[in-house]
Amino acid sequence: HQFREYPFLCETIMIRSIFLFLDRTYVLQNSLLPSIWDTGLELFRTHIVNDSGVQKRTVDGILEQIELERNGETVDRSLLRSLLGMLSDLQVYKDSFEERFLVETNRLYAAEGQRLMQERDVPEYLHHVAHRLEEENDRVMSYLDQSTQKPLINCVEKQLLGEHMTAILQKGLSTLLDENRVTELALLYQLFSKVKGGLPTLLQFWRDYIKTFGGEIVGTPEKDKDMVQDLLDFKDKMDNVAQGCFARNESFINAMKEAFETFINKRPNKPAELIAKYVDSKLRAGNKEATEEELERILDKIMIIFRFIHGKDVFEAFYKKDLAKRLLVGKSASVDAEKSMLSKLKHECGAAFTSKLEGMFKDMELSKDIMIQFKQYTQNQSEPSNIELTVNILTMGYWPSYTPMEVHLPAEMVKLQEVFKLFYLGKHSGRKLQWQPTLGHAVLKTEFKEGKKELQVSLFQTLVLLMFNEGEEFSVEEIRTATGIEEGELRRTLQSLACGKARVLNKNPRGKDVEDGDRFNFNNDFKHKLFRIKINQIQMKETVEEQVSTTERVFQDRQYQIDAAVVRIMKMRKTLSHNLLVSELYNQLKFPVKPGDLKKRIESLIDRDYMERDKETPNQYHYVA
Amino acid sequence: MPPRKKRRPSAGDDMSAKKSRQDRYNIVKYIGCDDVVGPEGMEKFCEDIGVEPENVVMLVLAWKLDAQSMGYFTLQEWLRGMGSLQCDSTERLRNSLDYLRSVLNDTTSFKLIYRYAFDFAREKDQRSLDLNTAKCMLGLLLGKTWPLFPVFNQFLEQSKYKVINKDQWCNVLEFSRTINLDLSNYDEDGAWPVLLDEFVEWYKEREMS
Repeated sequence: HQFREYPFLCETIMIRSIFLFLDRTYVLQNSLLPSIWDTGLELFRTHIVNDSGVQKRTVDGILEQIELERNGETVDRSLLRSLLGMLSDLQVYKDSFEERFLVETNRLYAAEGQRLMQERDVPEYLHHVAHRLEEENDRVMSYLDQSTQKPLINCVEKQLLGEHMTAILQKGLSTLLDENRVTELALLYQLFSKVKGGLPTLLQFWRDYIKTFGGEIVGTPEKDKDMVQDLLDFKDKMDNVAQGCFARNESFINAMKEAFETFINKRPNKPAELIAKYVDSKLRAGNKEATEEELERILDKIMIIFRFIHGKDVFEAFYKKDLAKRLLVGKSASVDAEKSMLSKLKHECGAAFTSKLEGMFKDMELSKDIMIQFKQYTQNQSEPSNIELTVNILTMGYWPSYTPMEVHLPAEMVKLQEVFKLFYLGKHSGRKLQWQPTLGHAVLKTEFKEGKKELQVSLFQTLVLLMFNEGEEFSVEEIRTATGIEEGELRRTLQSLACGKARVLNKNPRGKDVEDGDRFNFNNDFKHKLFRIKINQIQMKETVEEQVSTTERVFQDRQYQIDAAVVRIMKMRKTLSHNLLVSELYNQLKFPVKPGDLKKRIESLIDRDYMERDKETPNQYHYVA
Repeated sequence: MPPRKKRRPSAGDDMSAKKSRQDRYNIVKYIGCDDVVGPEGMEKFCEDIGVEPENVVMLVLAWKLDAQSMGYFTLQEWLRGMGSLQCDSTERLRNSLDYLRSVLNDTTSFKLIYRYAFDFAREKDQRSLDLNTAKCMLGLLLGKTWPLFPVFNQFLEQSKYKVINKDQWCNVLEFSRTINLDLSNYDEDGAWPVLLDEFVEWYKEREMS
């Protein structure tokens, strides 16, 4: 029994022992009399503890000891435990001690919070708070009454955290997140979860941080090159924080998603385009950095980012263009990865979104079958050709639109084309074949002084090179007339052959750019360590043009979609107010669009007599059948 | 004001009746080839009734005659219109000018005239009105009554618009009738054509600087 620890109680026990008989026989019989033990306590309380002088000095002493301990000194804890136990036993703990103790604590931590918020940086401060809470809990365990725990801890949390929530987050959250300080972030979450209103405040700051940081990634055109990688890294980091530090709190995860969606769409179209290009770079052959599983994981992550994008049609346009290139040039890294990406897209956006992309794959497979049949067909022909021909049949509408370009092909090629045409149209009458020389490529056998080589080149490069079978030297103009290649294209082609890494032609005079008067001859001294050499077309300028035209095509498409949606809605409703029409449109359209753009389309439809404005009520439209 | 009661023309297109009416309306004086009052005739006609050709009352007259294109009256339009106005001489027509002017004060008729003016002034092979004509016509119709007209005119001059289509045209009248002079009750999210959105934006920006 803990009473034994106070000297006074020992005395009382002794007195009780002496007068045991009295206590047992007389006092016990008489219910009105208190026992010797109770009398002793009562007398002690009245005459000693409740004596204001004694009580004040006792409590002052206790508080002083506690303050000393809080300041880091060692005190006699068993003495404190005895004293406080005594106060409890005498039922004066709450009134004489606890009240003053809490006031003191409050004062102390209010001051400490103010001071340390100024002096320390946030991580240090957080650790300090955690430490303080531990100490106070320990104090309760060691010598305070259990009932003090709740008000005491509340008081510490309020003074050290509650009062400084905004300041802590303003000062420290972005640094913690920037530096990815997982421990402190977990601590922060844990501490804030204890304070009233702590988590909602943290949530708000977290959302703002993501919006700001992400906004910078997306909104800095100079960093477009790294945007997607940065986004992926950022998402990973934030996921980690949400999972590891924020206890997978649903509202934090949702806030993160919402913030991503907001900032990614702040800059229209560009992120979608860059994501498409990023996927292309991952799916293209020559990307050896990733194994199949890693690639799969990357694609999954990409899909998460992709999910946030509002204008998915931009993505589709660029993805399609790049996919076409991969398929046609045979540069796709893995069919499985392509199929997997396609199924992800289908799952995310529905079958309509991917039907054309799937059509492209189907075309490629059909083309393979056709080529097998064609080979058999040519073997049975009377005069077999010495050129091997592979044709991919692309269904118009599935593939990006290419501007047709007329060039002069050598007679052998033309003949082969005719043979194929005859073969193909014989199988599928009523179809129209259009050759796309821009997409063609060839392997040429060449003999240099050094030995035989194979050149892997585009059709345009082929046409130019073949000319040197016939003559030694040609001017730009001569080559242009002979091949019929368009001016700009020809210059790039010549540049790739005579000024690039593998110079199979000599340019006279030398130089980096192709000028009007330049002449070209065959470079017989050409040397290369490889047998088969790929000579890349120079594409720099083209990609910019392509990018612009792809974007434009998407916008054009969107206009048609708006028009179609307006007409569809008006046809069904016949008469509709402007606001209802606009809100209906926003329901139907799957890409971001400004109200002003909608109005322009509506006006255009009015101008083209698809609908009309009510003569009396200008914000009402009628469908014109 | 002349009596509104219509007098039935005695006989449709009977040649003699037509001849006599032509005499009565003195139209012979103005008529050129193809039974049409052309630019020269029009000028002389205006002189005779004492108004300038660009006076708004001529537009009201054209509307009454239901004339199809600006600067021309066909014989048929003339006969039908003058019949409905009950005018058989330049003098009587001159006396009706006040009535014609008063028509402009009636909002419903004005709206009809305003809408009519678009098709009247439009080149018949175009769907829209070229900007200069539009500005002149707006000046004629709204110049005196709409205090914001000069500013709107300025806006049109600096804008990229080359033509005004019918929807825009009609909405300018609505705008002039319903929108406060400080544009405070303009709703950008309303159904106003983009042209007017741009005007309001331009105007507000100009006021700011």
